[in-house]
Amino acid sequence: MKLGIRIWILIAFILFSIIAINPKFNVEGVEVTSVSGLLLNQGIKIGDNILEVNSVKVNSAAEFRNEIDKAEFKDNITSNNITSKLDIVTKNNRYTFLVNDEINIEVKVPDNNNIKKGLELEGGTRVLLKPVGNATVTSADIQDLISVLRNRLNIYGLTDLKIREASSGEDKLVLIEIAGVSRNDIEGFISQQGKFEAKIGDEVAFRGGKEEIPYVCRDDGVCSGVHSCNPGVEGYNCRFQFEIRLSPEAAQRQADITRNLSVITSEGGQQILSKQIEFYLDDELVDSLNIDASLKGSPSTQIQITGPGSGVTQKEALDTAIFNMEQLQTVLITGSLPFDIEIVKLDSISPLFGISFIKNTFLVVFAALLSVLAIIYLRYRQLKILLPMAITLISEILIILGMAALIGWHLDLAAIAGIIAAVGTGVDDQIVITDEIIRGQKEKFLSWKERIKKAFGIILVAYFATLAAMLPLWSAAAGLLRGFALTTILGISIGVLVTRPAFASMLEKLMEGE
Amino acid sequence: MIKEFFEKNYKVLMVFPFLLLITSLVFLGYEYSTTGDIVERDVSLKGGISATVYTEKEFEVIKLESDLTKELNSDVFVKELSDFSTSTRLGYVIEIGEIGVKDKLKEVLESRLKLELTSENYSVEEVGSSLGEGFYKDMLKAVIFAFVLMGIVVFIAFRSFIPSAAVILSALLDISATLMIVNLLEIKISTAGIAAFLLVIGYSVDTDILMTNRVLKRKEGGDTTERLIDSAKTGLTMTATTFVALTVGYIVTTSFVLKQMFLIILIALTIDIISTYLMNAGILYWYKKQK
Repeated sequence: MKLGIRIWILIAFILFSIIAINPKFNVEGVEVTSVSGLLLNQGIKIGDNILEVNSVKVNSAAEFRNEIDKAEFKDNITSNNITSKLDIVTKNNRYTFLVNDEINIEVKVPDNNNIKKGLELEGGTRVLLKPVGNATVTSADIQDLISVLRNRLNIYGLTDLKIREASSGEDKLVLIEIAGVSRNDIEGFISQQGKFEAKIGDEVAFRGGKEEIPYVCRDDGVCSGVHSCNPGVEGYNCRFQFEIRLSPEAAQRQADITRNLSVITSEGGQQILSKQIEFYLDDELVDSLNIDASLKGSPSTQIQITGPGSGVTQKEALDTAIFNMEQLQTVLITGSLPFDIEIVKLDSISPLFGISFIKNTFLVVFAALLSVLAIIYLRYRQLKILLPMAITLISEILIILGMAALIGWHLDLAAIAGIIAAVGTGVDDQIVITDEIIRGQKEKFLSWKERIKKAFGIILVAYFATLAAMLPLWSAAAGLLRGFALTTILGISIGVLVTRPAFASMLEKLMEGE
Repeated sequence: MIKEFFEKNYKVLMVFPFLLLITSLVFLGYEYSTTGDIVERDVSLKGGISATVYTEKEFEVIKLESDLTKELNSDVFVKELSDFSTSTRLGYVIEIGEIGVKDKLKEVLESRLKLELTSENYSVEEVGSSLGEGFYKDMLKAVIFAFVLMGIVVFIAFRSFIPSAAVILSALLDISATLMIVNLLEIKISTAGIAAFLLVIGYSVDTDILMTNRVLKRKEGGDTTERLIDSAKTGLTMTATTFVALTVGYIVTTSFVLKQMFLIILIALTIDIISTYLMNAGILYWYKKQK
């Protein structure tokens, strides 16, 4: 029996989809989703497949974290010469090194196919930002904002992220989605406008951003770190310090300001200038320092930035100091946001539900398919109809998934709803085709071609009606339901162009003899 | 038999759907004038916090709800999350129509549930109230826009006023009556729930387009009533498959988002049987008779 061009096209699409989905059956270990600091310096990159930590096989994020926690230097500041050994085996390499600092790394279980999972399925953080006030913000402003934010998040070690312009009504928004990472401290990093100023008296010596500060020391124990922690009135106070370099222009400006200051003697007997240098972040004083008399009028490019961190316990004070330092370093590197923003939506989603949800979705789809086929059998009582129907439905799901994998779409809850909707419409159309063909058989005067043409007359109008209904969803509600619109449109389009013609052709072949 | 019955009673049969249309529109109008809204919105469209705790531990939902309401001084709703297939408890969903109590909520939950909440076992989604309001307006606009676009497609396809208007009227009945029922069932609608209404538009016109096509655009296939009955056979099979699939989906799925979407479409499909075969069929029959 010759298959005919329509069925061959379907087969080609199915094969193509399987290649696009690329199922793998031998995944092991964990995959690095974000890494910074020591481990990055050692050469561990995002995407690396870690198999073992200190000779223990790790196959989940929890197992990995457990091993890292054991090895991680967790002691307090007074004993910071204690180090521990870390031995990490990846698929292609082995890294053995000593740790004496916090370990910044996030991992996930590697995907066993190319279908990308959305936030609800993989867990992660979603943030929606809005410019504050009624200031008119153009798309170009939003693009500036996006580039600063992307920079900040990259510095923070998050590179696997989606960030795009979105809208709700008249409001322009920015949507950030970070898959696989669920961290609450991200809030501060993002929403801080980050206007940094170093003032001497009322005059600004230098500002944050690449222009005036071309280099900021970070992730380097020598020129950046927390250098002292002392008990205070309430709890502990720590102090951080890191080095920056000024541009020649900024250094000159600072020299011009200090030139006019007088030299005084401090309480400790040090020769200092009459005014302090004060660091402001978003107009709030972070810290102030005495300026050594030797710097008077000197265009020094090397500057130490300092700041505090306090807490009830020493650990808490240390963590706060580290957090403050990282935040300050980040805004010094990336400069300030073009305008003030506020967080209007913040979701942090656990990966736990995603895993059980995926299993559940398979069950939903399978149960729905079976029940649909049961109804079809009850109505037609012919395997000749049931079989092509089943093949078509399953291939439709497969092709939608293949297409989604191909364009790198992250499948979320809405997208899954869309697939179910598209398959539902698919069943409807196949029933139309089947009935037209059966009717045509009774009325002998119609040829196959005419019967199918009639069926497609109905299907096409219904197709355009559904297409029209889905289009407005593309940008509505910050595009959070875009996945729903996309998979529905993808599904019904594949149906009209590929699977339904093939279904008609299959029915034709099977019923030809009658 | 159906043929004679329909031809004799098609006008009487049309009374019910028209009454339903008027009732639902009046109901929605009344709702709008008293509450300022045609549906009750959940936190995704009104602003607030939706948190999920994943635990197999058992808690009394009503007690948890009243405890949280007292401690947070704000209305709290708690739903249990369970897996149908294994009939195990997955956790609890907590909704509060207020923002800014995120940290407090976590604290209270930890002490009530005696559970440390981490990023592994705790999800929290927060929507600012102005954003929720914005999303709501966006979604309403999307539904209206979709409805108009669908109407244009139908008019282009059939190019005659009454049959096209009948298809659109039938979709309107589906939406308004479904909205009324959703309202009566006191379902709090989410962003995805409104998206389900877009699908309702799509599913609703399917059967109407099929029927109109068979009646208007064919030369073969018997008289008008026979064609109507014939298309009802196909159309009802379509509705039956979708209905069964969605019912199964509604029972099996663990996601409240999907559950709500399925439920809305299920209600609409039921209404669609009335709107298509009592109203649209009657209009088409009457239209053909006049010609």
